[in-house]
Amino acid sequence: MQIGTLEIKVGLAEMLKGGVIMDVTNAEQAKIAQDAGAAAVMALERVPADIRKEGGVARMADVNKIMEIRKAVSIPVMAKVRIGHFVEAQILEHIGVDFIDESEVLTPADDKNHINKHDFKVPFVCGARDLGEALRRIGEGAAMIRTKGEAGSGNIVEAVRHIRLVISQIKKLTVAGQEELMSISKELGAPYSLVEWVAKHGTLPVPNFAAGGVATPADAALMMQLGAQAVFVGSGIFKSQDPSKRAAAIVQATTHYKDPEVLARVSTGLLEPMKGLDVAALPEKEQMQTRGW
Amino acid sequence: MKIGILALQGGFEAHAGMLARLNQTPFLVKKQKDMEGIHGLILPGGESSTNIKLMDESLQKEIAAFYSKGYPFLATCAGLILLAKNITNSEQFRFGFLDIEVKRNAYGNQRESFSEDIFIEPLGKPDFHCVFIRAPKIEKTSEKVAVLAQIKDNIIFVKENNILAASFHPELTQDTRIHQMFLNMCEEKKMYTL
Repeated sequence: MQIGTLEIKVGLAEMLKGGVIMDVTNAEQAKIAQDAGAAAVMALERVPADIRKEGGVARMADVNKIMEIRKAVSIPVMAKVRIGHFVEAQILEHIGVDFIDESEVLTPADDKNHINKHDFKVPFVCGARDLGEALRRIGEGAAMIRTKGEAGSGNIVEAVRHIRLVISQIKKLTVAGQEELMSISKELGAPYSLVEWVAKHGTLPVPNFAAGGVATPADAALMMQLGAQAVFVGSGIFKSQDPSKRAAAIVQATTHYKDPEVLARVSTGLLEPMKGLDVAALPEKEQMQTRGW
Repeated sequence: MKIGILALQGGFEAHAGMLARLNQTPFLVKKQKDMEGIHGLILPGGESSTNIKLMDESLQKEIAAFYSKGYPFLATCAGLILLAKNITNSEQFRFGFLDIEVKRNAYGNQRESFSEDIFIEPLGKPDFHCVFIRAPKIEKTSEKVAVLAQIKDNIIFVKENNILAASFHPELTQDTRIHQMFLNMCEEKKMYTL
């Protein structure tokens, strides 16, 4: 019998495809998310929009909080650790979290190194802004990649930029000659073996999800049409005026992302979405996406 | 032949890859109209509770009618839960075509997910690489259900009439034998329906 192999880690990521993973901060929100059709929940102390507003150091959530959320639902539970903070990850693995997000939303604990994710039996998801970053994280053992977007902004522009870049870089690789791969690998700062794999298969070796700025059903469908295989929604649900209805609408939109009839129906009669930020006006040191490398 | 894969949420892409390997074009089923003209239906893994939320009444009825006409099903993991008659730890909707009792997430969390090579008699040698992801357990089966494989006391693979159901994920491997077995059932059904 084998446990914690890459196959088993990626297996869970495969099962989350076509789904929505929702940030929740307590048992009640977790139930709302599950009832709306979430494929998993992300247990957090504060959603990204509040982390941004309140400032200070953002860390792994309290274990009690995560356990409370886990008890409330039957779907998988994820939780976040700070970039490079492998001890927070050891704690989450010990308490039986299903997936760990090594996340730029929290304050990084190591300014040079990410966690060696091969050391763990539990799967990890990491954010990426381009193909090089995605392949570096996969090289470290990530079983799922998501766009970074700009968390807590309610603005989809950065997630769109990241998914478009990753997909176009993958496409370029598929038409590159074998002799070009080493120089591309150097340019991307990505492991050669993974560059070669992507050139041959025309896809990432692990599922590629969207995150960072999804606020409406149309945002979710946009990311799916651009090539994401599932969607994370952070502040977008519980910072809106109608979390339950909006959550269900985003779930429908993610499944029926190419079906304008469904998209129009679920986009009807929602209350105000979260207000959102103009990311272009955000100074670089206030951006979360620039954390990690 | 036209094989449908329920594609509301879950591991439908991996099943599509498996069908492509067997030279079949997969058809993703999200709505009632997508069921038109198909000869067999795959119910993938994923979250069963999510799949139920996403399945509208017309699709639900269409799937029930499809079953009544004797068309083959291949159900894996959450798909098996959707077909089971009894679920010990949930009140959620189920089709109930398969006379078994299952328990959701019975092995535990992702930490307890595992793989193991198992001898499956109808497939013969070599052993099949079975991948279990937050898997359900089949706790009881009626005499109508043929048990095709088990790990110790745990039943993991069953057949009842036109349904083939596994608590593991053959679609996550390179081994096409279980999908081929399902395609053979579809082929046979198609032949007799003509």
